[in-house]
Amino acid sequence: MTRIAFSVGALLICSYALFLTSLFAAAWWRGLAWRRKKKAADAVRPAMSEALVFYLAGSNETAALRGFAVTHRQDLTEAVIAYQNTVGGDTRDRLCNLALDLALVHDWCEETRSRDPIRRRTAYARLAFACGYEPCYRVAGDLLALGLQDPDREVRLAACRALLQAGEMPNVEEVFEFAVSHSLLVRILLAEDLRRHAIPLCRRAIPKALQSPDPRRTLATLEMLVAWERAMPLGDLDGLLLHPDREIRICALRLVSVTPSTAANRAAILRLLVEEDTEVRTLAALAAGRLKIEEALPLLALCVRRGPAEPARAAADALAGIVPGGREALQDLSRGAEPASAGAASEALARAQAQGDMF
Amino acid sequence: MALTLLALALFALGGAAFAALLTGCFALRRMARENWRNLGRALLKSPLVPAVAVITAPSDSSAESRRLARRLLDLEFGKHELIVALDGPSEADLEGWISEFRLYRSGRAPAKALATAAARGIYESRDPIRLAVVDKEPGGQDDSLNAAINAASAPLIAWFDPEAEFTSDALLRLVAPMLEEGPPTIAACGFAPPPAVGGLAGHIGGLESLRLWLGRCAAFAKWNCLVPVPGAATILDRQAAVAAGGFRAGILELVVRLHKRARAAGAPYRVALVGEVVSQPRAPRSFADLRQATQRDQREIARAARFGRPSPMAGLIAQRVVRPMVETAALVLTAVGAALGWVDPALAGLTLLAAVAMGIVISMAAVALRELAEREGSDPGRLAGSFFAAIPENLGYRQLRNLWLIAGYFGR
Repeated sequence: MTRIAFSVGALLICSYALFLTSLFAAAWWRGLAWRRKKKAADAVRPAMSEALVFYLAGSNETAALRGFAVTHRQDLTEAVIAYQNTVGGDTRDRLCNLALDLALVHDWCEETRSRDPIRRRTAYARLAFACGYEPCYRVAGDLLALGLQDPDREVRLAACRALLQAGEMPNVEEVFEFAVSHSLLVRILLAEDLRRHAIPLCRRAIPKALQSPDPRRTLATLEMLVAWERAMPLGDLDGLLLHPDREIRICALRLVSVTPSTAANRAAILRLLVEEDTEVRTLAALAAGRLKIEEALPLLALCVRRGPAEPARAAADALAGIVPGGREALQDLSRGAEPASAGAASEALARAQAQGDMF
Repeated sequence: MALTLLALALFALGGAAFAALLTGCFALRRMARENWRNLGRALLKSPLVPAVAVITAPSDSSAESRRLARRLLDLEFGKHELIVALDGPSEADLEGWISEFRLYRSGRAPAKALATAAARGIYESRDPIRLAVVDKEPGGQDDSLNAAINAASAPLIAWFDPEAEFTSDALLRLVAPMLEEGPPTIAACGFAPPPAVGGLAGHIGGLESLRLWLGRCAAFAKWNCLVPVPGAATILDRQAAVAAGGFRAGILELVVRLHKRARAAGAPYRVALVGEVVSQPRAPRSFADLRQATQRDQREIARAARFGRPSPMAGLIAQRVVRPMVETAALVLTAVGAALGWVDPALAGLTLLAAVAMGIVISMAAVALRELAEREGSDPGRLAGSFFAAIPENLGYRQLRNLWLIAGYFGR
């Protein structure tokens, strides 16, 4: 019995060891090939960069680059892409034109059909860069819309970015829809690219999304608008500021200070200054301070007196920002008998004073 | 007969370890295909990313502790605050912190979400850094971490192993799984094996880290029973941590408790692994370093196990406690039996196969499977060094390590 167990065990271990040794040998060869490839790329990169810099600086000499496109195509692609965040305007167009001219854009289009999601991601990310240049967009065209249906989420994201780069309004609206119907992470990742289309989106897509009967969708839209951190020509937000869903109220409060200060918005903020929820009260105080709502002075003073610390501090800061009425109210509060509110008022006055000294 | 059974048990445990490595390898390959890349810039700039409170409870007020605080303050993130909880510091210690970070006593009052020893005061910095130092009555390390949670207002809590090396964008990478759709992520751990250093101890340390990464990180993440490992950085949902009662016996035990509660609630959840380079243990350079690291990990497991043994711990206990004991017993019995002529050579061979050869195969598998998991090739010299270090590792070191593991678990 023991001998049989020993023989079986030895056989098993030997086969494992054999299998692992072959895996190791393959990995070793791969490592060696990788190192050789890296060495070759390192050797050619300075010359490649120099040729690219000359071209981007305005030279029309592309013979060297064409040579690299034949001998070191992958390295040239990487060198071109390495410039994507460092060039803009005409230079960027020039770089995209070079990618098109050397048929690199066609390679990327081809790679979007790869079965390997990592290759597809890379291809779409490169197209997202190139599609800011109209002739490249014409080449990629339908592939970008197909990318929105890809099973890989990063491919979908890169396709969205490429469509936003091209900037055609129906596509921008489609990407906005995509963003508000996916996760918070997707909204975060697309917010920056969508930001520059904020004003056209405010005409139709945003009001429509804000009126959605689905509170999650409304919230997602508000989150996107908050992420843009820019002024937007939206009308009255009172419906959202007084929405039964707390999260929507909070998000609308974060947004309200970058929208026009309408009477309805101001009235809603005043109502929120007396809410029981301390986070809502804090944000309402911040919004009142940013919009410098003078009618809010008594309620802000009440917030300071009522506590707790966070809304009191926010309300005191808001009062400090409303000159002269708010500062006077703060001085009264700082002389008050209640130590917590007096402390918050004094701290806010000191902060306002320090900021005044600084500027 | 007993020895045969011990040898067969060792084969079974070795087979389970091998299966875990294989699962981990495929899980990492899948993660590499599915994980987001290059999120850093977008997450750094977005106001939608939730705030994170990084908590730490230094065991002393040495310059090393303050350096750790500086490193934590240097983490790149849009909205993060460092909360340092000092456990009953002397006046001189507190003064050291006050002068180094230009602290002033703030009016901020900690929440009373978790019961802790009384806070004497909270200090904030006059410099443009988001730092809060909680001065509290002595209560121990876990009590201090709970005091830091109380002082935090951010919805996410991050904890970094003070003995690990972490990247400056660690928080940006850790926070991503918490924002994804799908089952709610209650925690995420970031761990990657450190780059191998030279020397036998360095290579052996590298092998241990690889097994840890593939087995205890990637495979456990695949089975949704991931718990923090030494050198990992962990991000937690504050509300979940508070609901679970906060720290009682270290981060490992807290995450085990979070698993237990989430399973009891029956709702889907996950504890995610960030398999990129976020946080790495320091590479051991000597056998003394290896011993220290092994025993530290074992003490954490022992502390967590004393608070009950839900499923995430079962596999860990089998590999880290049962296996060393069975292996040591089998080897001692075989040696004694062979000396006295009671053990058949085939049985002695079987025991050696199960204890030593199986160990070599598992370590070699860790090296080979890592290559399978990664898209880029490794340096051939380093690869060969790690692969062949599996032989001396299992001929002497492993047997010594078993004794360290037993001593570490039983607290000697």
